[in-house]
Amino acid sequence: MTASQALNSRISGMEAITDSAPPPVRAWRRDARGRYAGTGLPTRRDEAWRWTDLSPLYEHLTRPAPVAQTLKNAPDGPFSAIDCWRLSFVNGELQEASADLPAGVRAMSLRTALLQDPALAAQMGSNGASAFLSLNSALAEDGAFIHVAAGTKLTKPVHLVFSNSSDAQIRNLVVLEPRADLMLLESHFGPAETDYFVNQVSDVQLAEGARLAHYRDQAEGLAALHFHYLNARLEGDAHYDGFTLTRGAHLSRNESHMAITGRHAQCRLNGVNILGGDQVCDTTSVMAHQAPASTSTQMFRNVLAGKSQGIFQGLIRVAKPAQRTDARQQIKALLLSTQAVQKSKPELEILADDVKCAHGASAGQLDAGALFYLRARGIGEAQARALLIGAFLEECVAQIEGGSAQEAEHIQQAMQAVIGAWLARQLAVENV
Amino acid sequence: MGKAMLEIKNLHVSAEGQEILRGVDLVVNAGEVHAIMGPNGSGKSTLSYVLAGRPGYDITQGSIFYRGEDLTPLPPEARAAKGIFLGFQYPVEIPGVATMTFLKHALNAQRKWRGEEELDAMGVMKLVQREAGKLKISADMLKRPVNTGFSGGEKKRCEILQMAVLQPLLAVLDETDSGLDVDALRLVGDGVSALRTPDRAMIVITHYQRLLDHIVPDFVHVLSQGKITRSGGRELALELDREGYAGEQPPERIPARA
Amino acid sequence: MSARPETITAVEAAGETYKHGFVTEIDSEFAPKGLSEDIVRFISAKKGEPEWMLDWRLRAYRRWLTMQEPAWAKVDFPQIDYQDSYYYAAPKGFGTRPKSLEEVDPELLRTYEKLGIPLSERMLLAGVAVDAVFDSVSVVTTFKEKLHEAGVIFCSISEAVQDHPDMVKKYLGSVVPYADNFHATLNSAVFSDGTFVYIPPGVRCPMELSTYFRINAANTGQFERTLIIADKGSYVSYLEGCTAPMRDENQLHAAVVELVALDDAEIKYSTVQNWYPGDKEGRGGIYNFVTKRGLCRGRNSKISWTQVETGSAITWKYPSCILQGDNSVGEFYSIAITNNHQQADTGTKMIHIGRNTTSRIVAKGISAGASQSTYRGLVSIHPRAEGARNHTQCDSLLIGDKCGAHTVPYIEVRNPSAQVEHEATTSKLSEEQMFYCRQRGLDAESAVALLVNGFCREVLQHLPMEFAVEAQKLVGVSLEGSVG
Repeated sequence: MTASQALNSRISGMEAITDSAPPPVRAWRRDARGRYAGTGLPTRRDEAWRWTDLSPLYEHLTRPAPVAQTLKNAPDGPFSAIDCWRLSFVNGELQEASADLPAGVRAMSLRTALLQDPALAAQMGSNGASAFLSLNSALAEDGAFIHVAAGTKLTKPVHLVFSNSSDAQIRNLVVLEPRADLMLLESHFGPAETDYFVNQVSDVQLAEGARLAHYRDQAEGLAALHFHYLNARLEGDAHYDGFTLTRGAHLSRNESHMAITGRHAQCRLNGVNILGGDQVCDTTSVMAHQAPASTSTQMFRNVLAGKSQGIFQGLIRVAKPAQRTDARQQIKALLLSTQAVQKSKPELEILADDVKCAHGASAGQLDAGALFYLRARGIGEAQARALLIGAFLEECVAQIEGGSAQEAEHIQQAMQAVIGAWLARQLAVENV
Repeated sequence: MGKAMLEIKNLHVSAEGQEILRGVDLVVNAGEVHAIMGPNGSGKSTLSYVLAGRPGYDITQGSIFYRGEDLTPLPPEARAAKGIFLGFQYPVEIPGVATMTFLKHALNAQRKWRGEEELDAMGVMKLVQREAGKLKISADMLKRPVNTGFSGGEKKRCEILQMAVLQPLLAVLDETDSGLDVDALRLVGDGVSALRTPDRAMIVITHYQRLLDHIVPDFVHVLSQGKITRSGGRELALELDREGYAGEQPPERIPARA
Repeated sequence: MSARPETITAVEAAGETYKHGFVTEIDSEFAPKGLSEDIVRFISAKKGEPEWMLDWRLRAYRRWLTMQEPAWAKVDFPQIDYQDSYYYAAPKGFGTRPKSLEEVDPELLRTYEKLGIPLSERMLLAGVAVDAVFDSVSVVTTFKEKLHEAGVIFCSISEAVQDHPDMVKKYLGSVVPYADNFHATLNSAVFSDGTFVYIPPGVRCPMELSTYFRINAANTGQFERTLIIADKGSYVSYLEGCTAPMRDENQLHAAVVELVALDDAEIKYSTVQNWYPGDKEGRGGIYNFVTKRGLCRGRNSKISWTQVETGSAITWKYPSCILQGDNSVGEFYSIAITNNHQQADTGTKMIHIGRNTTSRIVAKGISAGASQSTYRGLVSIHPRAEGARNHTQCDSLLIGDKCGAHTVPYIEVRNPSAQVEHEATTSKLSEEQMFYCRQRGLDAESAVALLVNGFCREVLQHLPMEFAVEAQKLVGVSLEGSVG
């Protein structure tokens, strides 16, 4: 069976579920199915995929999906020690959820939410921009639904824990009503040896003045294929602070489509990708400024060891009405080995004239002078390298805003600890 | 006293929908130096921009006559050619355009406007270098792009250099003393004083009286909440320096005394 | 705040001042309209070309038939009917090339004088030798004798095919192969004339070499081909200028330029492209699809491209460097100004193959009116390119709110010791700077010209003196009417 046949048969397998869904959901799924049929999976001939080789996914799909395994314990991640309301998913199915949520907050299975209120489907994107988005819309069975009522501020974060070991299409919907304030954490992990395929889409709707702090730790198993598509809309004065740490999966793509539709909205999209072996991580973003006086900043840092590949495609698009936009983007990559590869395409598309837009991209290795300086002070080479790489990444980790300075520091430290452990392992491997 | 060089009557000015000047009256005659003092936000810089014709300021009432001519319909370059010079509080950086080149273009544009013969590159260079020497501006600085990478003091000296080269009839100096150390202040003050002539008038806008030690004014005005609230001689500046602007501010803005 | 209406008006007015839009009344001889193998044979026969040259052209033509016009550039124009154009036009009587200026039609000489390029050696700027290409043929090449003494070959490419076949065979298509891309392949099939330069080892070319391209005939495509070879340790500075009459229909220009620099050689290639840009409504103008590529084949070789692109309705052009030799250097300095309905998609490729290769890119884009300007570039560091360095700076300036500015850089790094840095900014023409200049007495138009020249300074200073002055004026003229 070819990959596309395999996907088509999975889509056919959904027919009964689709048919029995409430009408708005059914229509939404059928629309997505039609869109997927129109495009099929992308290839490198598609400009948006020119650098990312999907053959591991194509090969994966020719085989039966891996059998789901039970993971004994969730591994430690940066959010383990944080007091949260938790929703735990296994292969996209909600297993358990904190029950003690405060008033004004719903955090539950999206499937259940759609049964209760099928009109929610209207808040979920199904436009044809990406085959992975339409595939997810056609196939996803469950995920998280989070709704925060107007003016409600949560006292602690909501944590979505995704344990994966087989193929999963996960769909989340996060709706923040005006001035709602939420910190949302996500962890993704799975067994090291299994080449499962996760395709997750999150729709995020931020109404006027809403604030979302959204931090993700992607620590999938090293054979996994992880696709993440964030579809966000920011209304006036909304504030989004995103940070993704990518350290897992054989092949991953973090695709973010940020539509800024209201005045004075602020969007921050940051991330650190630490890769080794033959990992490939593709970070793709479209920052679409559609309303006046909004600001966006993006900062990404890649550290590439082994034969890993970092790919970055970031488009800042400023539409005609979006006067007084201030948009910045910076991508830096450190190549630790001779076989590591970085490919970057920071792109500006500007149709308004009163704007300040800037992007910068750089790639290189550790500064030999700084390395020598540290060694001259008696610090061993491996440690000196770890220090310098840590400093390189810290600048980006420090972007995490949290809900308060204290919260920010807490999460930053947790992220740094995970990064530090990865570095220690990576440098030990290199020295062998 | 002859005919006034500048006559401002009941001037009301708004910017971005907000009224900033609320009925300013001022008469300046040739040969006079007027100091305009006042707290931050009182409308001092607005007054200077309106005189120079900066876009974005709407005159809602009142009039400005310069040498008998209504100034308000004229574009900024026409006012410049007619002899109005604005020394900017924050001189603008113009990357890629050498200061000397800039001065040549400015001087010749004004001369052309007035129907005077343009100066050749050599003529401009000689003139500029002569004036630059007085202000201790090096030849190297003249090659650097206008205000780009200049220190605060360099920028202000460069403004005075431009004034010396362009020889205006009415110079409006907006906070020329801000950001200057004692030495730079003396240099700038002496530079300006050297340009005092019987046919030239100056309006010196400042927050502090220290500049007025170097440029001694004939008249001092206090601008507060968009109006000239007091006028007097040199002694008014000294008084304000001793006692501050407290009396000139709305009550809620008086800082609590320790 | 957006550019003020008076500013915008001033920039728009500028669009009306194309100064080279006249037509030369001269009898021309055309190939039959359209494109076929017969036309390719016709062109080759006109030039009395040897068999190998015709074969090469025919290979290209057959390949071209299988190719698709590229669609990835951010330019938008109606489908080109390649059969609705003349592929060869020459002033009558050019069956035999004039031996000297005396034999050249005086009308032609007057044309070049009007363009400011007098071809009589006495009148020429000292130190610049010119090859004048009029429609499909090279009219005259000046200072040939003087250059000959230095061992420099500077002639039309048609002559080179006859007189230096070994060199042409060796290098033609060695940098831009005949199957390279749609436009270059079309050029390979139908190129009519162009310039050939060879600088022998150790020679510093005693004068600037220059080609002046002029499209005159209506409905005619111009397909010139330039080949410059700088042998070991040599140096040459080459200038290229282009203009065309104002016509309501679009005309096609698809040129190929190949540069080869051997060990320690340096080629400096400067272009002031001022093809007719079309009128204010976007009628007419040249479609400029150009493939320019330099090969730094030798160690320590250097190729430097400087371009000032103000003309053409559509510009599709990416002067590139293949940095094959160790320590070789590639440079790209570019100013692209678009006004009214012009569209430019231009940039460069820096392909780092050799060790310690360095490249520098400075691109300044200015968009006014309803124009669209795109910088598109590739910096590619190959695995063997130990110690490679690149620095890229792209700045875009927007004048008015109907235009667009886009930046599309591709960066591929496959060697950890490489250092690649890319920076880009987009901003509008600053109202503060405008006011400052106007307060000092400059009118809006002069202020724009001064500010834009300042913005472009870094690029302008890489042009040879005579060109720089010309280019500065052109910057002002191109933007006349965009602001007030």
